[in-house]
Amino acid sequence: MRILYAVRSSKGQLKIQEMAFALIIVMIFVLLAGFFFLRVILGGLQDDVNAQNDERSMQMAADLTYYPEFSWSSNRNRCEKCMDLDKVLALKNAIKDVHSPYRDFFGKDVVAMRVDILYPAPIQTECTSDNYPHCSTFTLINKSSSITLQGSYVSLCRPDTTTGKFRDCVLGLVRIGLNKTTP
Amino acid sequence: MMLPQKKAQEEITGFVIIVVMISVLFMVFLGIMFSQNFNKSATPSKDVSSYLEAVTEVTTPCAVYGDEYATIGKLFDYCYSGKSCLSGVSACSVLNSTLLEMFNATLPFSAAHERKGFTFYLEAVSDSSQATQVVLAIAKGNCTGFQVTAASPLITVTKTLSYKFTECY
Repeated sequence: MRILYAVRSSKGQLKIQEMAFALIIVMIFVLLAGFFFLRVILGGLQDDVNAQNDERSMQMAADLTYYPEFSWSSNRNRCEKCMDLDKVLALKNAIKDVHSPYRDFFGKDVVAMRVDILYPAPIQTECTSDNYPHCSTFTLINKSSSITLQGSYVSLCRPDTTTGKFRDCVLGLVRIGLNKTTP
Repeated sequence: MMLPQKKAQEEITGFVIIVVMISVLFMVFLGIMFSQNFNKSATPSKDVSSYLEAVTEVTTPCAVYGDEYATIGKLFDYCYSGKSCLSGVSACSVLNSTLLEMFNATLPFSAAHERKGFTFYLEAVSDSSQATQVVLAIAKGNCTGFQVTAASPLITVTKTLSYKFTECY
């Protein structure tokens, strides 16, 4: 009787061990799968946030051509989506001026803004009142150098040099960097 | 004495089969998910659209009337109408060389580069039958992979023109 009890008990223990082992394996599998899916979902959320931020930057860059401070406003040669290059230089100088009302014109959200001339390829140098228009880049705001800038292509125009009656436009790129902590 | 061992082996085999089945299903799911992402061809792009829009306003070295140098957008019309610049060069020739130079300068491409090539088409659309006639075509590089594109109509005095730019990756 004792022997029979001992054999049954040992068999039961073996089954419990087997079950515990199987449960541990299943738990590990479920945890790993859960961890993997959480990473995928959280990674997707981060990507969504970055994509939305990029989209905002691109949209804002595209909308700048409608700002009176940037737009080409000559009635003789209307161009809705053209940017006045002379105004860009004037705004760059105004933003640098401590007493200018344009100093915080774009608010705290915009931490970087630059306008680049792409074609015809200019001399690669920062634009100032001294070298304009023989330059390539207008850095209007540069509060953060680590941020990735997103932008939109624009036509950058000036009155033509021979008559002043028409516009002379080049291809440019406006890029903006937004503060990521703001919604 | 062999019976418990055999039962354990069967259970392990069953467990392995279930794990293999779940893995296969997971792989199939991943395969479907990725194939849906990569099968998209010629996706419309806001970036390409803004590029195309800005390009049409760029001034060219071609003056057709007086002192006014024509923009790329105006050259589309002049090229379709068969006009020439005051310098004697045809509008289509200036348009072709200016566009090619601009695309090469601003959108570099090569087999080693992320961007493999691009295509540009300027077409005249018939008002009645909606049939299209290619006015100017520029194609460079390899355009077999993933594509982003933008197209825009241009209503001119003479005809409705349509231009389309595609970047190939």
